[in-house]
Amino acid sequence: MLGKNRARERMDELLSAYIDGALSPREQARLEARLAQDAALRARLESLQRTVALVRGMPSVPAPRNFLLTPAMVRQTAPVARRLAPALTFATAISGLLCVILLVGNLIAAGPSRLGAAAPAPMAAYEETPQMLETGPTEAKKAPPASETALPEEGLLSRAATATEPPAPEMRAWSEGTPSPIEAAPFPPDMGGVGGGAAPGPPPGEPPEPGEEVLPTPTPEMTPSEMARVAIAEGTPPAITVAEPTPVPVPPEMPGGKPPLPPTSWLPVGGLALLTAVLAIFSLRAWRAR
Amino acid sequence: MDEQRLIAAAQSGDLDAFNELVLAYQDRVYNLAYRILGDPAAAEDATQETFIAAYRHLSTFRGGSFLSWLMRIVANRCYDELRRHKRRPTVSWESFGEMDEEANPFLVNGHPTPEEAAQQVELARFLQAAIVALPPDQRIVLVLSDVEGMNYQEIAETVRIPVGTVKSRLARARARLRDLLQAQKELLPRAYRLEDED
Repeated sequence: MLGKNRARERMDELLSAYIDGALSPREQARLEARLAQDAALRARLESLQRTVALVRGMPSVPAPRNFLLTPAMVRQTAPVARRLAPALTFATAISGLLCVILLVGNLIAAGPSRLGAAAPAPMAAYEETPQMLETGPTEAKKAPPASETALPEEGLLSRAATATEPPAPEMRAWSEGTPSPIEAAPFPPDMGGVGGGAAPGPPPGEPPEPGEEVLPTPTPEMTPSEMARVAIAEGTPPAITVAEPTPVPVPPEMPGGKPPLPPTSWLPVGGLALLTAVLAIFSLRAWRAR
Repeated sequence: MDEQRLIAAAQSGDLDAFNELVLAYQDRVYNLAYRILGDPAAAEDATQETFIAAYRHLSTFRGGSFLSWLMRIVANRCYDELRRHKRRPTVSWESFGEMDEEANPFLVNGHPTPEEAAQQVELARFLQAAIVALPPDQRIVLVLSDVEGMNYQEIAETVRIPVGTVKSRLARARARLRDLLQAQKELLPRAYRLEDED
């Protein structure tokens, strides 16, 4: 059945090509010889020729209206994404460039001083922090009550903290484990360790008489608390009072080294990288729409 | 009409010159679209889009027959439309007997005698319904060949299929159309009835 249908289709193909004059001379001769002997095949050819003639003779359908073009019709209206493609690409390039500049700048700024020898410095400062924090409560137990703990107001302390930029000798002394005079300055328990451990007291065993306190002259060897105490007594704002109880892990000055750089901020780099990636995606989509 | 001069003017942006070409060829373009799509509204859309596309891509026209170039554009558009939406014709073979004569586009064509006109209208309706009953692949090849008179090579280039495929599709389309006409021969005018060969 399938073979018969295939043979019929093959014959229709030959007849169709014969109508169009598309057979090779050899194929045409063979078909004509067969048509001369086969009446059914001739009838098949005639019905097919008639069908083709009917279609070819179909009248043309006129256009129902004019299809004249107007300027608005032929104006190229590119999609928004396509129109924005150049701008998006430019923005991507700029943000990418900024990202690279910022990244390289950060790496250069970090440099060998941060990546190499200087790296342990902040760590050392952090390592000392617990020790510094511990000194507060310990000393607080020893702190004398009353007048010794009459610390200046908060604002005064703040100003004093900013006024005493170079506490270097003392800081170095702490980092080397040298006993600080602050250890001899006990604080009352109610003062707390961290916030109130600034006021030095007299050496143990020698409680000073009220009103007879002998104030030492501020020297570079004095601890910040000592300097503050002297300053209070002299009526000047204390210089170091806050520096002691606030154990901010400031890297200590490295003898002979460069001053430490501010910590690298990766936020701008990350933000720019994200922006670049987003712009790149939109640029790709816009260019693909072109 | 000086076609080459109009084409040159249109290529340099003269829309009026192009519109003269539109007026000259819109019937041919619409006719082909209608024969392929079998739907007057869709044929109108395809015709308008064809002229817009032709104007925008006029710089790619490298000479030769401008009409053939237009026909390739409209045939491609119709072919894509058929493939995309599997568009069903508004004039179906099954509804042929009940088709409203007012909707028949052949009513407005030609100036035959009343008797000839009646026969022509009936035959045209019958044929159009039979053509749109063909599968889209066969339909477009049949229309390009037997309505537009393209040869196998031109059809192959237009539809982007091999010449051998054109031949086989055309043969199947003609044979199927013949079978349809024979099956409904009582609906045909007597002068156009096909006799069964078996």
